[in-house]
Amino acid sequence: MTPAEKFIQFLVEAIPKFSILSLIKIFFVIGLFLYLAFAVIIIRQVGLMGKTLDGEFNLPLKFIAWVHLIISLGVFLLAIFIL
Amino acid sequence: MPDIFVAKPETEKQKLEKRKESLKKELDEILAAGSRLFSAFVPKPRNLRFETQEKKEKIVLLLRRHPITNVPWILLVILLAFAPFFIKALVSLDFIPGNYQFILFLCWYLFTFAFAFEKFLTWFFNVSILTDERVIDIDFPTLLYRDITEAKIDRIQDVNIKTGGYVRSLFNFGDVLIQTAGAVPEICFEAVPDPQRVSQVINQLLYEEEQEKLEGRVK
Repeated sequence: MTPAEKFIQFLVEAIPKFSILSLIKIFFVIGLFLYLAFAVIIIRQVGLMGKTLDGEFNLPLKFIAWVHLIISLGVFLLAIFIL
Repeated sequence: MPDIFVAKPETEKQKLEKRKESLKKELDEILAAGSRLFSAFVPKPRNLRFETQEKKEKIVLLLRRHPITNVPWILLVILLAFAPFFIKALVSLDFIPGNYQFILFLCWYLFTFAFAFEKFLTWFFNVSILTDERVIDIDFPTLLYRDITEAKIDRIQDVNIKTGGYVRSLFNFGDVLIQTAGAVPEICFEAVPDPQRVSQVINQLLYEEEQEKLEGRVK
């Protein structure tokens, strides 16, 4: 058996083990990781906005942004463990 | 017939003082009504400062887009919030395992929340400010990008109001276009409430600035 044939056989044997749900899990985890980065950017954005216009409502907004990041992190970890 | 009482002619200084007083009164009258925090028309806001504000500079008026402009995205958020229940009622999702359904459900609400929060932040922080010295327009067009346009009051050449359409007429909001002689030829306060009153305030500030020039106390 040539190396190319061996590789093709390996793929044929490996693909059925690699279910569609595993692929979806990978997509979920990658997507949630990108979302986590977005949640961090939101915190930076709230900071920048608050610096530009400093008012009474900035602290609650920062709090909301941090809670959002924590929830995003929770969902990301949950996706890794329960999927 | 001799005059019993002859009033002393008003000196130039007294005239200026009188004019200044009347201008202040007019401005206070224009700015009399207005609420706080989530309002789109905030006269003399307390506990609020902007980044480039100078020590003695006072904010006369803070403007945001009229709250009615938020209705489309609020409706969309409500629709997105109820969508999973509609989808579940219409389509059988039994082919998706329970844990995947649960994560999908959480992701959906995370995205919906982020969308609503972003929209709110954009509305809340995209402001136009009138101070006793300048007009400032602060915009956050995209994430982590800001655009601050400003012009000195004495550089203002013309103020135009643009209203029209059913919604704008009904809720009394529109654009205020300020032509300046500065580096930025035009500053636009978009969809602000009561544009007529905003224009009046700008004109009053212009008069005050001219008055200050006459008195020779321009900053």
